[in-house]
Amino acid sequence: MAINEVLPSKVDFSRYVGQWVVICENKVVAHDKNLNKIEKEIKECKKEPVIAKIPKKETLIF
Amino acid sequence: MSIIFRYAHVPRADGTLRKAPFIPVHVTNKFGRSMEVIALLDSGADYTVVPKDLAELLGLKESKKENDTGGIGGKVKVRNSRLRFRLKGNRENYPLDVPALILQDKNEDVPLLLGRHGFFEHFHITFKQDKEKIVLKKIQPKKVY
Repeated sequence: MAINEVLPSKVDFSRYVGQWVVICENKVVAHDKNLNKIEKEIKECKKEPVIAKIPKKETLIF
Repeated sequence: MSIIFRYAHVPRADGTLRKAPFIPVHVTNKFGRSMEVIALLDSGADYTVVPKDLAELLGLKESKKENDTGGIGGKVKVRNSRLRFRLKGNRENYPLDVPALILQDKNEDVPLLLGRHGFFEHFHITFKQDKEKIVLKKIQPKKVY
């Protein structure tokens, strides 16, 4: 049974801790603490963009 | 059929890697475009929690009344809403509509958190920590004859 990868394995996300990233065709095309500031890149991605928050703190429970 | 995701390796501030059960959910943003959001599957959360700026991007409607909620991190202000998304596998595509809480503080440092209500009722979910995989199997409704 196929195992789906959630994030592209070749991308180093350590540079984006505490930020939202926009991934388009397996490449980070934008990053910012404020997601509203990278709406343009989300719109411009020709394929379905991937949005991820790289949190700074440990997310324990909510 | 099951949908299987490998745990995502997400860096911590100290440079070490956190391996956690993130899964992609497909949503439509306020511009009418489909996008994939990486969400943390949080079995300890009653409800799905949406960061404020993500809720704005998705154009989510929120209740007028503000409530307090919280967990180990303490109390936070939230408003009630709903989140519609699709969970997709290689051959599966499941629409879901779950109750959600929108964080009111933009400085809250959390990703999209998928909680139990509205989601865990529909899937048998197995966290295979040793293999760093999550397995989701759709629960088929019982036939009534």
